[in-house]
Amino acid sequence: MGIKRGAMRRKLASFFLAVAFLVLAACGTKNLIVLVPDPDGSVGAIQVANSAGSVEMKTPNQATVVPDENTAPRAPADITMEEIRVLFAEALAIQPAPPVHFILYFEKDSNRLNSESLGRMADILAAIRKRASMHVGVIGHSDTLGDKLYNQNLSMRRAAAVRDLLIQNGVPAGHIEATSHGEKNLLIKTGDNVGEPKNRRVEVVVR
Amino acid sequence: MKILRGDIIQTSEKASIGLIFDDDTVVSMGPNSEMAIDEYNFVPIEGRLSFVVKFIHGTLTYISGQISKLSPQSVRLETPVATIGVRGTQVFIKLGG
Repeated sequence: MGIKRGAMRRKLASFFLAVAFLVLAACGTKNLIVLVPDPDGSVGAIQVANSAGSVEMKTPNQATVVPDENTAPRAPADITMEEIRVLFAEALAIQPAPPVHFILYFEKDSNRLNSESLGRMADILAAIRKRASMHVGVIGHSDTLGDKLYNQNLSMRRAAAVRDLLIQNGVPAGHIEATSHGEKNLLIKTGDNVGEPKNRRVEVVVR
Repeated sequence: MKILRGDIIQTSEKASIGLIFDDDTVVSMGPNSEMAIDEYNFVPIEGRLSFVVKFIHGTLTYISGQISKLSPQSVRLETPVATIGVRGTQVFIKLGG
């Protein structure tokens, strides 16, 4: 029995090896397109098309091969993470982490952060340190209460307040790009002259 | 370094490159790779959104950004053998042996 089992195991092992080689051989052919989950785990879909046909891919860790522009993309087949890591080693090694977004809220008609948002500054500074970021975007916004020009200026003062806080905490000024959108880019859509706390904000993007 | 529409980005035998677009799209390329930015529009207030890249050879990774979420039909990765439409996901492409 023991011997049989051993033989079975060896057979299974060689079967898996053969499968692995087959998939790798398929990858060795030209022009491979792989669907991978996003870093946050979500998976979308891709459509691969040329004059000869198209395939829709929705299952992560699958690959299609397109031999040439006059041959339809092949049916998607599974590909392992190990194969992906080998095939795309250099591109993956340098792949930047996706930017992180933060939203800070302000008191009404003021460039003072509310206390909860003030507490979030620590998270922003941690994200900047962790990524060794040299590109921090700071975008000021206002709600629609009052005059458009006034709000443009208010959103600029809010962005400047966040920029100054970052600088006080050691972020080099040259790494920060501050802009402002006034009341043109509302988080919560409202009519004109509407006070909305969620629109009194600064968005910080750590790249 | 800022990258503009129409720019061609090439890597040599020992180089690779990572790019972050301001809509959060992330692209990287391994050695001996080449791509051209055909269209890049990210002006959500005006509804102008598009991302069209011609990937010519080598290895490339793509992580979708906000353009893909707001206007998936406006995102295309074009290669000499096929065009890839992307709806909010990560895609890896390898062209040539």
